[in-house]
Amino acid sequence: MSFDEMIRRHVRGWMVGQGPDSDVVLGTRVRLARNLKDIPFPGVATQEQLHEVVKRVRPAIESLDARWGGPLKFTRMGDVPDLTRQLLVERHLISPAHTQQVREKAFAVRDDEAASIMVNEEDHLRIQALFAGFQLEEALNLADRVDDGLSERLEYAFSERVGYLTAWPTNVGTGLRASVMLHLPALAMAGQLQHVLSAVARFGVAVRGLYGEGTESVGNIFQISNQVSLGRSEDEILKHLANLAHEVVGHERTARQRLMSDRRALEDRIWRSYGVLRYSRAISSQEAMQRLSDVRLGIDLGIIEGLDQRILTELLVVIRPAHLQSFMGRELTPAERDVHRAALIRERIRLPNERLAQGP
Amino acid sequence: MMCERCGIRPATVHKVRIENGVKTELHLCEECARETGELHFGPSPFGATFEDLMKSFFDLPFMEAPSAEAPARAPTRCPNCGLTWSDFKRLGQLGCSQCYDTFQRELGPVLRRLHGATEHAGKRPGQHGESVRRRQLERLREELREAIASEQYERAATLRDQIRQIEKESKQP
Repeated sequence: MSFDEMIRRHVRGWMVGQGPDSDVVLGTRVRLARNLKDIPFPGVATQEQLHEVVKRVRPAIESLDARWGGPLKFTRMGDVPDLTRQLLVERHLISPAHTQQVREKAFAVRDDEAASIMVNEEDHLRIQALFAGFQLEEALNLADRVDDGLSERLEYAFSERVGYLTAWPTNVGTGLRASVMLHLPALAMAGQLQHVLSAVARFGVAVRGLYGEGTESVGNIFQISNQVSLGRSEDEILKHLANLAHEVVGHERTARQRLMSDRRALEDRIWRSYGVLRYSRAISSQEAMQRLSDVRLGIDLGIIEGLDQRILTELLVVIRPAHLQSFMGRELTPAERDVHRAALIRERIRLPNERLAQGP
Repeated sequence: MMCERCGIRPATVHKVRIENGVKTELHLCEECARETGELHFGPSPFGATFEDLMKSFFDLPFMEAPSAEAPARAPTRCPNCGLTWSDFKRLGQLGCSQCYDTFQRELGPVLRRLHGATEHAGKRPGQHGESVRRRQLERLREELREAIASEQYERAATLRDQIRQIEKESKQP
């Protein structure tokens, strides 16, 4: 099987979609934290109590039909092989913590991966919706439907005073955490990233790099998410986040336009990155992400034509270790990963009229 | 104003801190703010929790100082799960839903600090489709305003009927 076929088999959900504002917004995620009444939260519960959670939650999840955002396939994390657990993390479907101490942990996902649930992570239930592009409202609607379906079948820990009760007081109230994943290469090139991001951070949103420490995030990808979950309605929280995200999107677009005024330097940089991705025989994930960011910018600005805009979104997931090892069907050393990563990218990055050096 | 630390770049991060009644101000550029940890962006990917944020709150004096009029603390251990307040301060997490009642007094300032509020204003269990309908209504009303403003009265009438229909449905049990 070629890499290409393997990717097609592996890439689904938000990675293949193309939502609104997709020139800057790669994806949207909404999460609702919920707990069952009377059972201690997972951090404190005994194995028996966690087992009880699974016992109650499993039939509830399995009975969700399309009306409630389902159907979702339920799996115990203990039945998921190590490599697959890592795949799920790389696809943003579960947290890294959910791959550890998996006894009585479980996971449910809809076929298109738009809706998923972690069972016995930090809360008994973490309902998640993932969409391509800027789709906060759509993501909340889906998570809401799953939540509605489950609340018919389960009794939640809820207080009239402080709302949905959660293990972390940072999530209490609505239990809602909404995030938007942004690609901000032009702001980074213009040196305005820190300025813009810390400005929005002052308005009560959290800003994070996608992978790794610090704001010089790999591939110029950042997430902004709401910090407040109590005292405001879900709509207000989303509206606030959407306003700030639009603000950042606007700044990025302006910066892109400004970059276009010195088109020659920009084109040189973008085509050089294309060259590296197209012809290198070994590439680190750090460099790959940066080069992919450049190429994606080139596509968004119309400098590179004939390549799919979703190339960055897709490759940013599939060049990670678990996906590479899954493609190869075996464990790879870091050096081997660099070689296979380069091969995989060469397969994907090819202009339609290109006939040169097809390479292995 | 220039950065107090490097004196080279303009100060863009301003922090006012009140400790033991003494107010101190800090003016830094972004770079120095980052180096000194005053400007913190967490490392966590999608699925982020706010542990760092929580931990930093526990270092603040308000957590320790019992206010003069506060009577002796009620239970120090949650009768349901056994968690103590000092466990919570160490872990940042609560043990069960009853902890919210047990430590109500202590949690108040924490919630206010985190959320700027202490009372829930969102969805409730069993409110099926309520928030979906609310958002739908909001959007339709906005469209209605626009339709009237641009004198599209036929469209406005259709929108008005849609709004009425949704309002009627949400009143039904």
